[in-house]
Amino acid sequence: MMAHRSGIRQLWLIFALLAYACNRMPDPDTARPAARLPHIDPDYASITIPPNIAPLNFRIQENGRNHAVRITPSTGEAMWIRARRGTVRLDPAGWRRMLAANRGQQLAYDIFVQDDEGNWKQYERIVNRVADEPIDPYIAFRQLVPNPLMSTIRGIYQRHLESFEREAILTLRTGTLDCMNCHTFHNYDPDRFLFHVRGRHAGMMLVMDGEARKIETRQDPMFRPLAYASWHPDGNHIAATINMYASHFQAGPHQVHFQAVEKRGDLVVYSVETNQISSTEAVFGQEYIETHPCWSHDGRYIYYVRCKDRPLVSHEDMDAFKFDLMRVPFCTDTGQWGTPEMVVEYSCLGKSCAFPRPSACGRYILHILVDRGTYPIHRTSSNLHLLDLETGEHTRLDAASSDLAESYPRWSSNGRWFSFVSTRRDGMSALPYFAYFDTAGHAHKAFLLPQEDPAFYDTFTDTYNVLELIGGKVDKDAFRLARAVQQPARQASFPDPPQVDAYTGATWRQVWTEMQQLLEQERGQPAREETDTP
Amino acid sequence: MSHHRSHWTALGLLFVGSLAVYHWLFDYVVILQYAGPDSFFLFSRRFLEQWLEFPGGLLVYAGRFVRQFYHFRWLGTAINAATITVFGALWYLSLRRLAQAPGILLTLLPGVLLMALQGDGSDRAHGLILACLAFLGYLYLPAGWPRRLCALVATPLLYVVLGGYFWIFAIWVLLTDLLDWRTAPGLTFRLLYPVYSVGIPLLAYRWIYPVSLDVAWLHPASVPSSPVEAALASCLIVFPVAHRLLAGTRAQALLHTRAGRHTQLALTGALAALALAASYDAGTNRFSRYHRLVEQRRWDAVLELYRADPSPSSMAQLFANHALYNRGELLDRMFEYPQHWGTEGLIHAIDMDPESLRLAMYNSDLYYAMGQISKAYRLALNQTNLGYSYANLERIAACHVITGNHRLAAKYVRQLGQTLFHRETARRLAGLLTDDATLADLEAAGLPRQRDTVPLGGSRREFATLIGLVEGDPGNHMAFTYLTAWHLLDKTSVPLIAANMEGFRSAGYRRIPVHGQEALAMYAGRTGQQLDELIPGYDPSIQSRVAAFVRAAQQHSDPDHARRALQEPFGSTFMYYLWLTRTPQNPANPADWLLLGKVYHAKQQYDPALRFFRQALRQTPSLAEAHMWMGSALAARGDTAAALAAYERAIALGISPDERPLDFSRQQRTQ
Repeated sequence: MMAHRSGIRQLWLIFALLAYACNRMPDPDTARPAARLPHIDPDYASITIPPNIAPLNFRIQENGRNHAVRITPSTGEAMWIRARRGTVRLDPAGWRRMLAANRGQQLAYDIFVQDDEGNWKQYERIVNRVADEPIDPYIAFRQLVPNPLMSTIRGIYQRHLESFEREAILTLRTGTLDCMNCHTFHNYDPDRFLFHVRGRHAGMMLVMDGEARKIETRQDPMFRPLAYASWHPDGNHIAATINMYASHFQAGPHQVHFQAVEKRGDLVVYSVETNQISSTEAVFGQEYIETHPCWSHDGRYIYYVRCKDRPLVSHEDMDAFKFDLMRVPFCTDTGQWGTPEMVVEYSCLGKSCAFPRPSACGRYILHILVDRGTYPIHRTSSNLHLLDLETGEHTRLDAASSDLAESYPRWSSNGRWFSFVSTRRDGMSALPYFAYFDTAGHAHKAFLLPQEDPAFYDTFTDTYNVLELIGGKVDKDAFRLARAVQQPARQASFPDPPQVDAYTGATWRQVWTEMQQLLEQERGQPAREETDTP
Repeated sequence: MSHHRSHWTALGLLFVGSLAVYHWLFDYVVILQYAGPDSFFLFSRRFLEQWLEFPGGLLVYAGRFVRQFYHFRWLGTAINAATITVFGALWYLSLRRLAQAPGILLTLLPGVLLMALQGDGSDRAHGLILACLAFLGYLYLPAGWPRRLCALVATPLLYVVLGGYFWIFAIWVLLTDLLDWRTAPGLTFRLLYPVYSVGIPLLAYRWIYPVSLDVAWLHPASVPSSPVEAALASCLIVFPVAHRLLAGTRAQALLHTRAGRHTQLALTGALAALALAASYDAGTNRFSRYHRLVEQRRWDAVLELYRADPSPSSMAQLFANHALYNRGELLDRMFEYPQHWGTEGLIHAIDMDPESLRLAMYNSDLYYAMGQISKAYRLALNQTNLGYSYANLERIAACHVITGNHRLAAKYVRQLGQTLFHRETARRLAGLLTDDATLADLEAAGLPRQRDTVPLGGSRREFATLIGLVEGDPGNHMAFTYLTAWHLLDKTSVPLIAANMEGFRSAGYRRIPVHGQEALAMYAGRTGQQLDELIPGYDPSIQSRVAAFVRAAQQHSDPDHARRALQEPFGSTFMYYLWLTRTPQNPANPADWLLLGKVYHAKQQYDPALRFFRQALRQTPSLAEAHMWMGSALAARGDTAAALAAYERAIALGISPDERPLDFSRQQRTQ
């Protein structure tokens, strides 16, 4: 019996020793220094992070038998993490406490790698800063399979930025809906938003005051649905474009993505209260293509991009579609439109502007500059730019941009953060990135949306699209939303349409038929009708 | 006991029969399912999660897990046979629990019908096995509340796992409970259980699954759409009741007499033969044989099969032409094989509908071999709209390796690495990505070289791509051969061969292939050109045969009559060009000249472009588009007056500035 007990004790001892040996952390004093920064993925080095972000799990991409990380905050105890197979998964509760105690301070990452001989190597310290200002706690985004010819839309989802929780706002409810897009929130309010439904049950869905209503905006002389909507700060007016784009795959050897160009676009403002649409000839004619509207912070202007319409008969013609940054005054009290003003004539610089977003303070315009068109996600030349309205200077946000495509920038509600999507990781999947924007007007290095499994993006072949920051969780029943989509739509009225033959108006059938024929003949690919986001 | 033994023997026969059926008759099931996206399976959490979004998703997931073993054909055959036999055994045990030993017919027929239906690749067999298993467990419980409690718990679980197949279990439970009315009264359960069962999909539709109502109701099962399916559904519902009602009667005793058993066996055999005949798809079977032979690169066997094919499809023609190319005989012997379907027999025009997308990889293979990696990639990517398959995933990964997008390649290679039987391929591709030396010489690593193409368009996409490939690399033998074959099959494009004789030399031909000579001889006869000028080193015997054919053809005024009369002595080759002897004018298609003009226009070589535009206009002076392009070329050369005149002619021929906001009219205004 005694021998039996002794045997058990020995086993326990061996087990305890093994556990100790397996969890033994390196001694920083004896570790050999490596004179360079370690490779980690995602790249979370030298970044500024929100105090309410989920744990930034990452992988140490350095060869070794064992890996360990010590995170030393400016305030509080250091946190040791043993990284099994180089994967660093942070304890969410400890991480939250650490961030809360270190607002406006720094976190230092010391990374240790043990080689086959058992010697530990310590890499140069990574220092990240925790900002004082939090980021809006949720993002809403559309997820789709990035096949441009026939993208499969998975649905509109939301993700809690403070944790890894993700859930659907609206999916296609297999067999019920065909397509939905352009979800837009009023003032980051998760209870007040709109989205568009295409195909079957087409219409604009307005979700507000606890109910969902469906609006049909198409009518003579406007046969296209609305897209790229933006809510006025008063919550009663929605600026949008009526657009069409032409797309094709180029028959070249190196392309992966298709090419698209906005070929039609006119601006309108929809009044939620009166269910009426208004426009003016200056933004609703044949001469220009207008798109990507966004209200200024005070609601007095609509910023948008504009390009002179041109013939599109060859692939090279697409290069001429360069959009300028414009704005047009709109008085919500009287419904009167002003005269469009050129803000920056980017076409003269050989650039095309897309997705202008005025900052909350009204001083800056965050936008994309690309070599042509308004679909920057397909162009590697696209970069984030900032226009300072006070000085008139526009600068490339080098810290946040990359060699590959950036698109769809959005400010956080406090103006200290901005989000965007970028294909920088693999050239195909657009993934969500966030960057800090300091009070001096400088953008900091962007970081990728953290995932519980840091290897998540290694096999993620979908793409993020229409990434919106929101102030809380969208607490809407997906079933009710889907049911509401299937209800008949209320017809919006267009009481005083401009007396012009808008491209998106009466002649659109001819226009589109011809576009299809021409593009099919010229490109060897059938052009297809799309409404807004490819 | 002897009943018992005879039933197990019968089930053994069912297994052997299934093996035979899936080995010889339905072998296409395994082959084609594995080639498509239906069998794709990944060992990853994310792959599993996507199947949790609809009822019955787990059943589909399990089906894919099983079907990945179709990688080995023999294993797929065995799995199919075993699946059917397992269902038969569970069914038999269930019947035995319901009453005494059932008759052979009752035991075997559902399994036989299932065997005949497995060819459609559904998850039916797995759904029925799990429903049967649950029902058997239910029957092993004492009648009354234990069974009912079990049913109440199992029904929603089965709904989650089996989707629409849970109805089978629910119906069996309800019928069994009704038949137990004497021993286990319980009106409340009998009234409420159907409501409960109906309520489950409704509640799930409302609260759990983001799917439409019909999907919530039935998926992945479906309403029977064929007589065999209807027969199986009927058997599944009627047989348990009939068996229970017959239990202990004289009629059942008759089933177990020697004569009764023989009669049932004979009847089962006859019904099996009928069901198999009704389900057998000879066309799909032949297609799978082509698929397998092409995969094994057994080109002779492909051609043999094609020759014996009574009604070859355009896809079969594509396989045969591919085989001919690989034997170096496409332009010498293609007309010895049926070429009834025009240019579709070379490269298919793939649409985005599911049926076309299923065939997209065959086109992708061709473009991949030609070095048009971009198009090969695009076709594979398009097929992913149906889901990943091992073939399209591997192709996408390889294309990214070739085009140098290594991060994206790595992403797809990692996915391939999560499969069971394609890890070696993943390792090979991953090895390429990490080895700079190998990456520099991809051809040595077994990957094709990416060929340059010129950017151009054309109303006929594949034709334009072939031209682009040849223009980009005149030494691209496969592209040139296919382009020439295209001209031959297109008939109207035969003059383009004459216009591009230099291409044969660039592509490495030492002589003009036989069919090229025949077509050109025919063409020369119509245009009055000298054959020795047209064809360097032509074969005089071909010319004499062509001359004999033309003479014979001229004796028949009616084309159909001519075809019938000339088929026997001259064969398909000349029959294909019969029309050349009938066309009164230059037969070249103006659209082709126009296309060629656009090619040179895109390359900013305006002189040859103008030559081809003029050629098009010579044949069809009213071709407004040609005038427009000629105007564009003239304008580019600086000949503004002539350009304006060409534009005006285009407008006069119907291109209205008012109706054409995209056209050149604005260019004209601004000039």
